[in-house]
Amino acid sequence: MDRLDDIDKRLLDILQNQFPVAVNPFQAIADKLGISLSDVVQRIESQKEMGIIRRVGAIIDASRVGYKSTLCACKMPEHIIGEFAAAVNDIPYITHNYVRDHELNIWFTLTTPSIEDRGRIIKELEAAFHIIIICMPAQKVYKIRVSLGME
Amino acid sequence: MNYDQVDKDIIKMIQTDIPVSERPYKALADMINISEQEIVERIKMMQEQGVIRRMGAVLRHQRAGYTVNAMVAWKTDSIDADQAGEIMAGYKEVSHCYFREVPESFPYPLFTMIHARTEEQLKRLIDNIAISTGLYDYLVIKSKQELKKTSMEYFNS
Repeated sequence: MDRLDDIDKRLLDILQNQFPVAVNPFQAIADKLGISLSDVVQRIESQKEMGIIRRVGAIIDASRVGYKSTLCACKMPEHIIGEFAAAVNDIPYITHNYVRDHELNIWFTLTTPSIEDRGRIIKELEAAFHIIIICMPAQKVYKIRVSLGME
Repeated sequence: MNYDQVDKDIIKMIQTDIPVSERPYKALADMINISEQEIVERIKMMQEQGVIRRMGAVLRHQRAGYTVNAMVAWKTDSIDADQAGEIMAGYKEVSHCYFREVPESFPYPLFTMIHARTEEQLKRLIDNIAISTGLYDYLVIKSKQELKKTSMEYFNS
């Protein structure tokens, strides 16, 4: 964070909140900031390298493209977590996977093209790791992240 | 939803990273044989329809200075969960707020993700949310280790 100057912070704000939908979005951002296109590109690349920016692209609403999402949790013995993590890395439908500080110590999100796919993946994981997974699909969404304030 | 194969092709190409260059949609346009302008129009349309929530950057909380993050699950037996959800959503430090279907063994259906810069700030936020919603039975479930964090890729199977 300390390595970011004011222009970087304004750039991050624009990238999150006012990304131009145009054929030349980065030029439009450069114009807005009063810097050159190559400066914008360089700053974004360096923030990607530093790991501040994970990606620049589209954020899709899973439900609007017909996918079914759920949060899942289970109680898992410590010694199989590594193996479970490796298995999860091979499942593209699981995007987030965390060890958490609770009796239910594993929490992950599962987004599948159908409910049947969800059921199949859960069953396979339960059988492979001798665990019971609880699924907690959202019934109502009050908020999904818009952006992080950089102030 | 009202999108066709061209829209799907566009989603496939822009759902992870677009090139950070002068004309990020040029290569994609050439590949599927439409103009860059049409891609932009379709992206606008999909944004209006809600298929695309937004275009732009996704940050890593930690690296962006939000080092203290917690999932907090709230019990909502006694009061109107809807009202509490709306109140929670109003906090800028709350990034996600959902009412979830939960089993009897885990009776905390209202989920929030809360981001702060210090432990103290987090604690104060949770206290404030409890006071403003009247929900005092909650679990703070912190992450101990990130095993995986990727972006979903649609239409790739």
